Order: sequence, then C-alpha cells, then structure tokens
Amino acid sequence: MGTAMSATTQVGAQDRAAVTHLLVSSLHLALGALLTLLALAARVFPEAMTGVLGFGRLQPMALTSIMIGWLVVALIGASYHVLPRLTGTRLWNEGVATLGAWALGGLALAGVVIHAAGLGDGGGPLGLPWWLDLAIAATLCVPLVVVAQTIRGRTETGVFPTLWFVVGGVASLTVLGFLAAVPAAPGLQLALQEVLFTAGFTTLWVTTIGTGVGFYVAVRATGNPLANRQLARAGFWSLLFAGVWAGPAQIAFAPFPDWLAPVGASLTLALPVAALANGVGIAQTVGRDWSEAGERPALGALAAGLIFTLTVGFATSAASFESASALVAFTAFWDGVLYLALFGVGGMFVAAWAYQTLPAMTGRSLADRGAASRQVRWTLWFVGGTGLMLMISGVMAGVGMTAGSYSDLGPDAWSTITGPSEIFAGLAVITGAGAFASQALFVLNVYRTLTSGSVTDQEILVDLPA
Amino acid sequence: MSEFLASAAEKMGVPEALVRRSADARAKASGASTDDILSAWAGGESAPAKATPEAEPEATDDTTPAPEAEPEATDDTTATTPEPTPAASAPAATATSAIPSRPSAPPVLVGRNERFAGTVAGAVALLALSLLVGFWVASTPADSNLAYTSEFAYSAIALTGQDVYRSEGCAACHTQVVRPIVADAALGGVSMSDTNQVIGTRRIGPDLAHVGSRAETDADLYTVLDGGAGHPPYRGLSQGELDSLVAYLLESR
Repeated sequence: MGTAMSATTQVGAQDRAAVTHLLVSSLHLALGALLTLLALAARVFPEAMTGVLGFGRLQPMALTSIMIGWLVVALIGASYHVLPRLTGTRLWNEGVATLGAWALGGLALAGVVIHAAGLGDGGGPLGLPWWLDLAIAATLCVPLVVVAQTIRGRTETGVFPTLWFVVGGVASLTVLGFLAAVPAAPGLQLALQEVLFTAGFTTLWVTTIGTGVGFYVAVRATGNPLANRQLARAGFWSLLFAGVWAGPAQIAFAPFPDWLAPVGASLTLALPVAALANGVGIAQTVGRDWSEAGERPALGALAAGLIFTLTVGFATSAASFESASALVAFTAFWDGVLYLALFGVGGMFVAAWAYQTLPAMTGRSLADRGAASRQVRWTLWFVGGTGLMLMISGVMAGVGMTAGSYSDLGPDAWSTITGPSEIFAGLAVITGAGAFASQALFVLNVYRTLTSGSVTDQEILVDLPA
Repeated sequence: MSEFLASAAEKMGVPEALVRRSADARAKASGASTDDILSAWAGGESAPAKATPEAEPEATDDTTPAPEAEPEATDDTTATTPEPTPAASAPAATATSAIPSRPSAPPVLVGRNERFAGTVAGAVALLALSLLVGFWVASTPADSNLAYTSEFAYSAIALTGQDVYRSEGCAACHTQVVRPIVADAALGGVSMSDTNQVIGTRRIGPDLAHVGSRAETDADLYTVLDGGAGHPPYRGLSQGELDSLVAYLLESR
C-alpha cells in the first residue's frame, strides 16, 4: 500500500484525494460485503448466529460500513476526480480532502466496532450513538466545502451535466447527514427518520452521484459527445423531486398522517422517470460503442449500473402505491431494493468510474481486465439474484401475513405463516455468496492495480506546482 | 490555419470552435504556436510539450458557446494520448513510477455557460422542503388521536429495557406497530401517532406492540430470550439488562 501511495503521490498529486478515497472505500467494501453476507445468513439461521453474529448487530454493522465507509467515501472520491477535469482548476485543498477520506473511513469503522460491542443506542438511521452521528455529519461538510471552493475557482465556465449531479448530490448528503444526527423520539419520528434517510441516501446520493459519474464515463470512455443535455437535465431534477419520498412506503399504514403515503407515492413516480431519462441519455451517448461493453469493463459496469437503476426505480415506484405497499411494507422486499441500490447501482457506478479512470489517476494499467469484466457479469447475476430473492421473500411474507394473523397461534405460528418466504431468504444467502465473490474481485483488482499494475501513461490535467 | 483547423476538427470529430479553443490553450501552455498545434493535430500527432510543468490555466472563452463534447476518445488503459515530459521520462523506467504525460485533448468536458446558484438553491430547497413536510410535519402526533392514545405508561425499569431493546437491534427484526389492515387484524389495538414504542421498519419476526398481552408469564419471555421458539439466544445480556428488557415487553400490552 505504501508503495502504491508513494508512487501515486509522486506522479499525480491532483488525484491523490480521489485515489485515497478509492483505497479507503475499497477496504470498507471488503469489510461491509462480508458483514452483509453474514447478516443474510444470520437472518436465516438465527439460532446458530448469536451475540456479535446476531442479525440485530450484524445488520447495522453492515449498513454502517457499506453506506458510510464504502459508498459515501467512494463517490466522494469520484466527485473529486471529475471536479478538476470539469472545472479546469485544481481541487481545493487536496490535503483536507484526503484527510476527509481517512476521517470518514475511521468513523465508519468506529461505528462497526460500537455495534459489534453492543454499544449502539438504536438512535438515528444507523443506530449509532448521537456523538458519532454528529461527528459523521460534521465530516460530511468537508466534501461540501471542497466542492464549493473548487467550483468557485473554476476557469471553465461551461457546465457539463456531471457537475449538476455532483453539486446536488454533495449538498444533499450534507443535509442527510444532519437529518441522521437529529435526536428522534422512539415512536413515529425514529421510524420516519430511518426510512427517509435510507430513501434519500439511495436516491440523492448513490443514484445522483453515480449517474453523474456515469455521464462522465460515457463521454470519456467513448469520446462521443453528450447525446442530449435536456435528458440529463430532466433526469437530474427528477431525482431531486423523488428525493426522500420513497421512504414512507416502507412503513406504509404506520400511524403517520393520511396524506403522507399518497404524496410519497406520487413523488416517487419521478424515480423511474429519472432512471429512464438518465438511462436513455447515457445509452445514446455511448451509442454504437455498447458493442464493446463485453470487452471493456468500464462500459460493462456502466450498462449494469443503468440496468440496476431502472430496476430499483420501477420496483420502488410500483411498491409505493397503496395496494402494493399493504403487502410489502415492513417486509424484506425493501431490503432487496436497498441491496440492489447499494451493491447494484452504487457498486456498478463506482466500478465504472474506477475501471475507466484508475490508469489515468495512478499511471498504472488495470491489473486484471478479465477479472474486471468477470466482476461485472457476476454482479449482474449474483447481486441481481440476491436482490430479487429478498424482494420475493418480502412479497411472500406479505402474502403470509395477509392470509392469516398469527397472534393467537403461539410462537411457531409466525414461522408457519412466513415459512415460504424463508426459502427465498435462504436462496439469497447462496446468491449473496456469489455477490461477495464479485465484490472481493473488485477490491483485489483495485489493490493490485495500486501496488503492482504495469506502468502506463498518466493523465495530468492541471499541472503540479513546480 | 483554417485548413489545419478544419482538418483537425474533422479528424477529431468535434466542432471547429472547440478545437480552436483547445489549440489556443495548448499553445499557451506549451509555448508553441497555435498553428503548430493545429498542424500537429491535423497530422495526427501530439502537440509539442514543454520540458517542465507549469501552471496551466486552461483557457476558456466565456463568449463562445461551448459544444458538449470531448474531442478525443480515451481508453481504459491509455487515458490520454501522451507525450512524456523529459522530467518524467527518467522515473518512468523504474518499477514504482509511471509516466506523467500532458494531455493532447482539452482537460475538461465542457458544457454550456450557466450559474450554479440555481442548481444548489433548488437542490437544497427541495430537500429541505421534503424533510420539513415528510419528517417534521408528518411525525408530529395528530391531536385527534389523543383520545385513543398509544402512549404506554412504562415504568422506569421498562424504559431502561426499551434502551436495551434499541441497542441490541431488536427493531431490526421486530416491529411495534399495529396497522389498520387485514394483516394486523388480530394483533390488538391499532397504533396511534403518539405511540412511544419502537415502531421499527422490518417485520422479520412477530410484531411486539402488544406482546405483553400474549405472554402468559414472564418465564415465557425469558425462555424466548434464551433461544426458545427459534429465537436467537441473548446470553450476553446481564441479568439487569435481561430483567429490564422483559419488563419492557411485559408492559407492552
């Protein structure tokens, strides 16, 4: 690691922050992916996995590592990479930006340890103690300041659409960070806080930044001009309108006001609109070069990311309507959607960025292009499969609950009623193992590229100081 | 120059205005003339580069509408068309360093001139409004519900148990909310908006809103928490934590 970082620093300090973010986030991906797999197993074998391996602890441990340690850090890194290239100036205060990666990675790790020790207080969306929520929220101000200051100093006045997504995503993330830190009462407030944060995180952060990076990768990888600026604009604002509104459907018929669910369902319609607009915009930009997606991992990952975005958009919107949410609210269906959003949408857009830009950032060829293409295929099959199994499991549980109430049938009645859904939850463990393998492939590829990838040309877009 | 410009634009497949702007920037950065740059591009060669890096403010023309294009395709492994600087060539021979190279294409994906203020203000305003309505307003208990309160009068030990319930992640599997739909028809009184129970967001195990009324004795709950009825054992809890957790569940009636 030391060799990689020193080489990187030596040849291209303007990407030091982005590379550090990729490195830190990859370590958290390795940890979080393992915890996620264990959590899937703990859900199916609750008697066998107890204590620190119990589902109640593993689930928040996994979410903390994946959401904060991996996706926040990785997508901030992607933003730092594209910013100088879109603004024609150096990233503002590279040192502070780089420090932010280690700070967020460290805070996420602290969250994992706290949950493992059973010291979480169950407050906030990730169940972390208030002081840790506050520390994370404060640290999330770093990318906001870096992005704002960099844009202030820009020499390029033309705005490529990726900049909208970066600005909108980073601003939203800061607000969401403080939403998570608000002390919430245990009743309705806590439940709403959790689902609004989760929905906002996947829509306003993962999908927004991911899509923005997708537009960048599409142009950089193919050399084609952006096909349609208006589609990108429509996609961007649709994402912002959808915002946090997919949240209430997850806890439909909870005792919140009657108007909340219909309002949420209506605004969630913007999610498939965004997915379609952005998907068509990127697809048109890549054009005939899609035929190379099998051989070029960046394009393959981009295609997979778009497929997952469409799937999540339509599934979320469909499940937000009253008739559907009566069935799947509070069930594993939403775990499946979250799994697809985090590992499918987030994972593939991060991979598209990394596979396209690692050589440019580090001066090293991608260590194993074959493994990268394999990772994209495995992600499509296994992450897609796991998400689908969880969603089916949720639907089956909803059908079971609707078909007969368990309250008077004793403890075993619950497993009788939800038994069929457990079959699909079990299948999710199997496909989840494949998904873990694909994530491990990505981490290994990044690490090997940083440490031993063959020397290649490096992009210097904004000169180093003499 | 115009023939070089046209030729370079055709070769790179981008509009002449952008090629001209890029050539000017490259010329300024490298010390060569714009004609030389255009000539090199028209001939398919990289532009000459300076020996040592210096500050490179990429020239932009605010008055020229910039096309939404990037002039040169890049590849996963060769991100730019490189021309190694002399200063960088020596370390390139070592195993631990790479070849810093100047780009032959403009460094930016240019777009149209516009201000960010609208985007930022719109994004933040939309999210703030969403949270105001969706979180603050929606989570305020409705007055009309207070006649049928769901606020439980928990004892002090039960409230301690609620903290254990939250910190152990019980809400990851159990809800404490009864909804006015068929699926919850026999679970007891429907939860109101003033509930002080931990509603949760996933129901992987049974709902516990009124679990106290279903447990015949507290021994039943101790048994479940010790691994009975398919429930994971919570043997890591101290006796005090276990007692308070059982009190919380028993008082949830």
